[in-house]
Amino acid sequence: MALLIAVPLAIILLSLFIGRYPRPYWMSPGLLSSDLLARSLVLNLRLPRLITAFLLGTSLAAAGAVMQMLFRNPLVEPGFLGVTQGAAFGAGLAILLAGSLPLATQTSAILFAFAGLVFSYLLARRIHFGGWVLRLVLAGIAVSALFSSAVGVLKYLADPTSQLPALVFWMLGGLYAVTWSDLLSILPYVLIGLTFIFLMRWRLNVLSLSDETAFSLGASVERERLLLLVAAVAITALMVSIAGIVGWVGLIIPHIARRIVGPNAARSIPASMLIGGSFVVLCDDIARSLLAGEIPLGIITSLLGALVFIIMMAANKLRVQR
Amino acid sequence: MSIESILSFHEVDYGYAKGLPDAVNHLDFEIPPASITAILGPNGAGKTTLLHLALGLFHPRSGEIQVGGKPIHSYSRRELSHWIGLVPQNEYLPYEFSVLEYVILGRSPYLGLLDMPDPEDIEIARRALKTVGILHLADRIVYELSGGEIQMVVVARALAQQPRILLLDEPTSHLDLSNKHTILKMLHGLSSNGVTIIFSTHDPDAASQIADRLVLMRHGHVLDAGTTGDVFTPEKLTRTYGIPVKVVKVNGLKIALHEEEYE
Repeated sequence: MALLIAVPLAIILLSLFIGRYPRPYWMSPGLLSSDLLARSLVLNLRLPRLITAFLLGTSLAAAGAVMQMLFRNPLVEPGFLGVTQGAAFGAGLAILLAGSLPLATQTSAILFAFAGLVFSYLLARRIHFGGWVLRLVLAGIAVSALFSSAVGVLKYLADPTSQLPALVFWMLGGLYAVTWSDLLSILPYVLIGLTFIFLMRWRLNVLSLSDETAFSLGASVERERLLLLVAAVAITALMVSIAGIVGWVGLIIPHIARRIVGPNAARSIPASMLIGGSFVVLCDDIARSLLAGEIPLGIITSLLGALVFIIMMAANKLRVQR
Repeated sequence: MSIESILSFHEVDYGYAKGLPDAVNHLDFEIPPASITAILGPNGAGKTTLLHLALGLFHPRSGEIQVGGKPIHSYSRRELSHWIGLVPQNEYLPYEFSVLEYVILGRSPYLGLLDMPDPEDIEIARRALKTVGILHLADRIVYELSGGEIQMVVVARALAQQPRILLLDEPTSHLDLSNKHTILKMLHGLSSNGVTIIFSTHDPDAASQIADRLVLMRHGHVLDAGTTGDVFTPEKLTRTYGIPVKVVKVNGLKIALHEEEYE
């Protein structure tokens, strides 16, 4: 566990000096005292971006770990209750109607992410067969499909020279535009959500058992699941609203965390948070430093995430019951 | 209601949804403390529904269920979980929890919403494993064990909860003869230590081996409830299973057989 805290701290510290100023890849820390531009760059651009990247990874991985426990399914991820596709639709709608106004895009993304969740939840309540988990999964798939086809319509309608590139870049995710004010506007809510999940981590173990067993152990099953679900979706939606869609983190990081510390959520939740944060910081280092232009963050996380996933499967490290 | 009963059903009706026929009707019986009661009946008789009602998971449409002399709905979720533990028919464990980690989950009723188990909880979990005789499996992964071993692990989890009433849904149905014997013997020992045992089964012999009392069920109704000596008769079993049943004695133990003999 000490290693799980020391490594992320080291990654954050080193990442402050990774970039393309004054020359590609590495800035000497001594420059901070002598070069005003370097100091301003580190404090006003790199630091908020780094913290956002860490929070993004922490939130997506924590939300993924929560959902994989609640749904007793290792293949679900934070976006799957209509949340990500809802956010994508909301952002796309704002880009088409309001131009590339960042605040409008963010607000609309959050609103539609929650619309996705509420819609999935209400639909799940209307379904009259199967258990609670199956109903939510089915409803989530249907709502995601609806929003994703609506995104297709938006792409078709978008002006190919001005609006389409903005839309596509948002869908690929990136932190290039993040400022202190973006970060501070969502920071309190994200921290509340993460703290709640962290404190409820023991309960999460109980809620991963069958409904009747969790009930017999004193849990108010539906209410507690709903609270954790809302917390997971809220932090996902908030982070997606300023970062765009960053794939695979919420799916793959909880698996890696469970491989390292075991499935007990008492340990796997904090481990997911720390590993997820470090992973996205590293991916963002690559995104902003590797080439002269910005590479969309979502491409790096998906590429690395898929590679790790394939390696884990090939090495038979991914254990799923039945 | 008599003070002697730890759990009682009074004219309880329950249906899963409006418009559907009730799953159980007029359930009415009492269970004395530290007894072993078998809920006996064919598949689909409403045995699991009865257990879920006793657990507080379902609310009766009419009638009343009492636990320890008080209406079941007067307890909070947490209080009720100090009274009643459950061994479900199929426990589902999504991830590779170790046996000890899983059994410690049985301490949850005594932990606050945000608490973590302390060394005493771990000690109680180890004692529960020792009680069911599988302390040596503590560090194994639960779902890598055999069916019989998993059943013991689930019972240990429910015992770590230190319940006064233990409900078991078909505890022996997937088990071979030797594992079945181990479970029944253990339930018998638990009742000697003051735990009230209520288990459902479609197997008359498992019931007659250890149960003091039987509740016979068919089509959502209680056909008869009473001591095993009074209720385990060819006539009553015939009505319960809808086929001709005879009862024979082997070494003092009553066994139910189909009336028809095979040549």
